[in-house]
Parts: sequence; C-alpha cells; structure tokens
Amino acid sequence: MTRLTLRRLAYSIPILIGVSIVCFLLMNVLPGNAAAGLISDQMTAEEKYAAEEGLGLHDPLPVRYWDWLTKVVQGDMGYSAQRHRDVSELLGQAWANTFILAIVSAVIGVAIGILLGYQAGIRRGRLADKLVSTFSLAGLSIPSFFLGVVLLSIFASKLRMFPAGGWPGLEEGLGSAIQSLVLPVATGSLVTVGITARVMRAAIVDVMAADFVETLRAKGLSEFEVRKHVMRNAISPVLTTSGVQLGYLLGGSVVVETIFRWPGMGTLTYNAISSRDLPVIQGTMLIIALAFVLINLVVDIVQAAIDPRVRGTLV
Amino acid sequence: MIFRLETIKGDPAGKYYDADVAARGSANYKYVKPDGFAKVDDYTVTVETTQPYGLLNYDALAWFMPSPTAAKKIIDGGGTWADFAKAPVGTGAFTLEELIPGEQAILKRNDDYWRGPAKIAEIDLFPAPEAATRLSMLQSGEVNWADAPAPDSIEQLESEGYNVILAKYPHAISPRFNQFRAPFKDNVKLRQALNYALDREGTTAIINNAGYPASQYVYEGHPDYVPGNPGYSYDKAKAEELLAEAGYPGGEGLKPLVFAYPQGGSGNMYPPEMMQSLQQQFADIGVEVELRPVEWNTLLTMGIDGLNNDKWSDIDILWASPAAGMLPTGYTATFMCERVPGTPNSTGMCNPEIDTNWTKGLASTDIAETHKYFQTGMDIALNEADFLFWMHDLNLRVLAPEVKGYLPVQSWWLDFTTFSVED
Repeated sequence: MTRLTLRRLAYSIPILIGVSIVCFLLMNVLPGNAAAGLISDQMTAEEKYAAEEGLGLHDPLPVRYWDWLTKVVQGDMGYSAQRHRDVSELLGQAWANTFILAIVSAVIGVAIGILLGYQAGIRRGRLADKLVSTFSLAGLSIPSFFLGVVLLSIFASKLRMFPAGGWPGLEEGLGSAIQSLVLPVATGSLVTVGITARVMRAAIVDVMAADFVETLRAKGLSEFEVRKHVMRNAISPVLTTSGVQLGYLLGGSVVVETIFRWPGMGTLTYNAISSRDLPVIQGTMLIIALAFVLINLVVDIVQAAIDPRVRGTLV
Repeated sequence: MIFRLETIKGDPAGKYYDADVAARGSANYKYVKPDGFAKVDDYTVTVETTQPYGLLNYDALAWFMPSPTAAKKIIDGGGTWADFAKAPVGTGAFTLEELIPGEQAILKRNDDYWRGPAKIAEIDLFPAPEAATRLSMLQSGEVNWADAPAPDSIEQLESEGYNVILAKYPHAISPRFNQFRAPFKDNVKLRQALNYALDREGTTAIINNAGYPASQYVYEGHPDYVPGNPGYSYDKAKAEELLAEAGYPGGEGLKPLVFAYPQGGSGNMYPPEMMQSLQQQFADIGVEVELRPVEWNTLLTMGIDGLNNDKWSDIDILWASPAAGMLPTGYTATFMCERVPGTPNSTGMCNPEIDTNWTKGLASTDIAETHKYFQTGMDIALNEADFLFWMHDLNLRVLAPEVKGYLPVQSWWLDFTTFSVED
C-alpha cells in the first residue's frame, strides 16, 4: 500500500505542473489585459507601462512562469494588487469556507444517493425504483442556478426560515452556521444525490445478478448477510464518482457560491476571473487541481483497501 | 492636503510616495504639476497646473485624504501603502472597522467627524453579485437597503411597502462608434441613421422603466445640456432614408456590425436585455448586429488600447457607460481629440471644433462660461451623432420602510450622515 501511495503521489507532480502551465498560458492568450484592473483610460502611456511593469507583464512568458513557479514552491503564491492581500491569505480564507460547504454537501449527497440507489437497486422495476430514478434524473437536470433562486425565494424571502446567503462562520455559534448551510447544501448536493443514486442503483443491479449471490443464498446466508456482500462489491464505482464529486465541490461551485454569497473558492475564482486578477486565478486553479489529485489518490487507496481486485490494477 | 499631494505628485523616490495610487488616481491629479504645490497657511494651499485650467476645485473633490499620522506610522515601521490600505484612516464620517475582500465591510460612525457625527452607528456592506440574492436579502429582512435588484421586482416591492427609488443622476449608456475606419469614419449619416433607428421607449419598457431615453449625452437639467436641440427620437422612416444616403440602402453593402458589450455589472444597467432589443431595432432597418459579450475588464482594455489596436480593430461599436456629467474633467477623455499627453483616444472621435471649445472651457475660471463652451461642444457632438445616445440610468435602489433620511441627489455620491433607521 505504501508503494501504491508513493507511486500515485509521484504521478501527481507532472499533472500539477501540466495544469499550472495550461492555466498560465490560457490566462495570457485570453482577450484583455492582466493589468486592466489597475489602469484606466486616463493614464498616460508611461503610467500604464509602469503598472504593467509592476506585474512583470513585459517579461517573456517562460520567465514569468518560472518566476511564479519557483515562488509557489517556496510557499509564496504572490500578491493581489487589486485586493491588497497576499494570495495565500485570500486562498486560505476561501478554501476554509469552501471546505465546510463541500464536506457537508458531499457527505449528505453521497449518503442520500447511496441510500436511494440501494433501495432502487434491490427493488428493480418496482415503484420505489421508478420514483428514485425520476428523482435522481431531476437532481441531475434541474440547474443549480434555478433551484438556488427558487429556494431563496421560498425559504428566505417568503418564509424567512433561513438566511438569504452569507456565511457567519463557526464563531457565531453552531445553530447560526447550520442555518446558513441548509440552502446552499440543498442546492449543491442535489447533483451529487442524483449521480450517486444512479451509479449505486446500476452497481447493485449488476451485482445482484452475479452468480456468487445465488451461491451465497444457496449456502443459507441470511438476506442481510447477502446484501452486505452485495454492498461491498457494488461500492467501488460509487467511491470513484463520489471522489470526483467531492473534487468538484472542493473546487467551489461558482453558481452555488455566487447565489448564496458563500465566500469560498468559487466566488473568489469568479471575481478574480472577472477582474483578471492573475495571481489569484493561478492560485485558485492550482489549489483546485491539487484537490482533485489528492482526492483521487485517497479514492484509489480506499478502493484498493476494500477491493483486492482493484489493488492489482493500480500498482 | 500637502501630504496627499506629496504622495501623488511629489518626488517618486520620496519615502511616502504612493506609486499605486499615483498611477490609478492619475485622472484626478493629471493637471497638477509635479511638485507644483505649497502650503501658504493652515487654510490655504497653492497648486500649480500643467496648463490653464479652471476645474481644479472639481478634481479636488476626489482627492481623498489619508491620515498622515497613520500612514507615516505604518511606513516608518517598515510597512507599505498596501498595508495602510488594509486599515485606512481618513477624514470621513465613518471609519473602516473590518474589511474582508469580496465578503463584507463594516463601517463605524466617526464621532469626531468635522461636520458632526452621523445618525447611524454602523453600516454593514455585503457584495452580492446576483440580483435575485439581493432581492431575497432585502425581503428576508437581512438588509434594509438593496441596490439594483431585478427591475421585474419593482411593482412587487412597492406593493410590499418598500421605498423604491428611481432618480436622475449622471449616468448614461452611450456606446461609441469606431471612427478610426469605415463604415463610421466620416459618415455622419450612418451614425445618425442608427440613432434614429433606436426605439428607446421600447427598450425602456423592457427594463421596466429603470432607465429613460437619452436625447443627449447628459440628462436634461444638467448644466451642460444643450437647450433647443431635441436630439434623436425613434423615426424608422428617417433612419432608412439616412441609411440610404449614407450609401447603404436597406443595409445593403453594410457588413454585420460587431458590438462589444459587458454582460452585467451594476454600472451597466441591463446589457443583455438592452442589446437584444437594439439588435432587433437595427434589424428592422436592415442593419445586422453581431453581439459580442465580453468581460468587463476586457471591455476596459479595449477602451485603453483603442479600437485602432490590431486586437480590437474588428469592433464597430463599443459599449460605454460613463458617469456622464458627474465631473467636468471626465469629459476630456471622451470628447477631445488632442488629449492630455499619453491618454488614449479609444474610438477615434476627433473634431477640432469640439477641441477648441473644450480647451477654452477647461481654461476658464468662470464656471458659467465653462458650461457654455461645453454646451457648444456637446451640441456639435450631438449633431455629428458621435455617440449612440441611448439611455440614462435611474439608479434603481430599494430601501426598507424603516430607513429614513434619504436625500436624492444627482450624483454618484450619497451623504450617509443624514440616514437613520427606525425601530
């Protein structure tokens, strides 16, 4: 297992470097000017040049990339001149907020998805299966933007049951934090519920049709014991999709965070892209890529621990 | 005042020189001669300008004063102006208690404010990019003030007892034609045709009257408004006639016009709805428009680089949302051909007659005379159809019933010392 972990970690390094290069290049070929947030049409050419020079925009691309990369390796992610903050400070705050939202959304979404998918799978073709399939399809189809606005309108504006966005932090008390989480989690986890339920159902249906299930029954195991074996064999694809979902959520959902004013990675990325805040964009992209790589690593390790067949394919 | 000027127009090698603000805030200091300022006594400062210039008092309204004591303490202690920006200290009615970028700002009353303390003890500011979120925050009682909710909600909010404010102020949507090249260069009839093709009333209805049709660059009643010039109103027949005279009968021979515009932002009114309306209205006279939505900062870059830059030379019309008439200095970068050295001419608009009037207006120290010159310049620009005179914003904002003391002013700035919140 140690060998597997080290090998996967080694694989992640070129992936992260590749992501950073692609992100860096993309930001430099897109229309617009990275210094646009710092300059105005009232500036003289000299003042404009000085502002661009301050951002190092006149250096060749490889030089700029190398400067940035060597600093990142040393823990310096740069400085946002537009926000007057170190990028690492901005990322730290945003990441902490997104982490809370992502973990709660993922846990609730995956748990409900597994439960629904399992129930649908073992009741294949019956009413429960059809209801779950319809619900999971709806979860995948309803746009988060629409759902978020509807929930805001009903539960915040009309009923005043939950706040209309924002995150007070844990310092304000657990009750206040939970209240603030309800609507964004409901909006953000619906897709996870839908995907997980569909994958779980399909896996259960597959495994239930396998020969070993009949063998287990023939050996006289109780239905509960049989289903434990079924569950263990069916959980592998669910773990994979859950890992991907968690990666998305940890990257910060731009839509959910924007609608609910959640001060996380999605909001920070959206604002940084809108204002071409290059150091912040590069930092957020790198962190999001890192989250994906680490989560996939964890998923691989967990899968290998649960299923010996998977272990052989990964090493 | 002297400390502020030293940080912007003093020696760039000086200890307290603020290169960042000096560059960004150059618009408000651009006529101040470097090192051309001196203290006369405790209440008098002399400022030397780079050319005859009568509008320095207007520029000085935006010379925001940092506390020399606080700034020097930070910089003498090894900090920078960026550190000062995290906890700024000035002379205003409120002090900054907390600032979390993109999340929240808390302002506390400054009890020592020189004009007397404000009525409210605290202002909490929450940026919320989504109009639906702002509306929900207001309706749920989380905030008692929301700027620019969706215009569709106006009737609902009024029926619920909210104070919906729609007031004139200097803010227009006046897109600019690319006059560096054909088809708009030296083709006043084409520019006029498009101005007559705009059904401004129709667009106003689409945005639920959150704006009103613009007949000129500034709103009626502004000192620079040209009396007696009605501008352009919707006249399809006249638009078609002018289009033909311009050399493009029924739009024939005219390539689709590329129109760059932002997708939103509180200072841009409602671009998607307005642009779709415009596209349809131009199509009615045979003129095709290719909509090109871009990020706000990309649009700014287009303006800064200019439409004669290779990167943007395919743009025919550039969205513009100026604070039209807010401060007279702002006109120079829009109307003048020969501008303050180095500042760009974004769209190639160039008329020596306008320049002559503007130069005289800037030089005059009699503000009434300055306005006369500006009116003349505006009259020429209106007749030449140098802009797409389209819409004036009414700055939709909604206050909860308990908020009192709002004084509508024709300005981007509000005096928050007059506000109170009833229990």
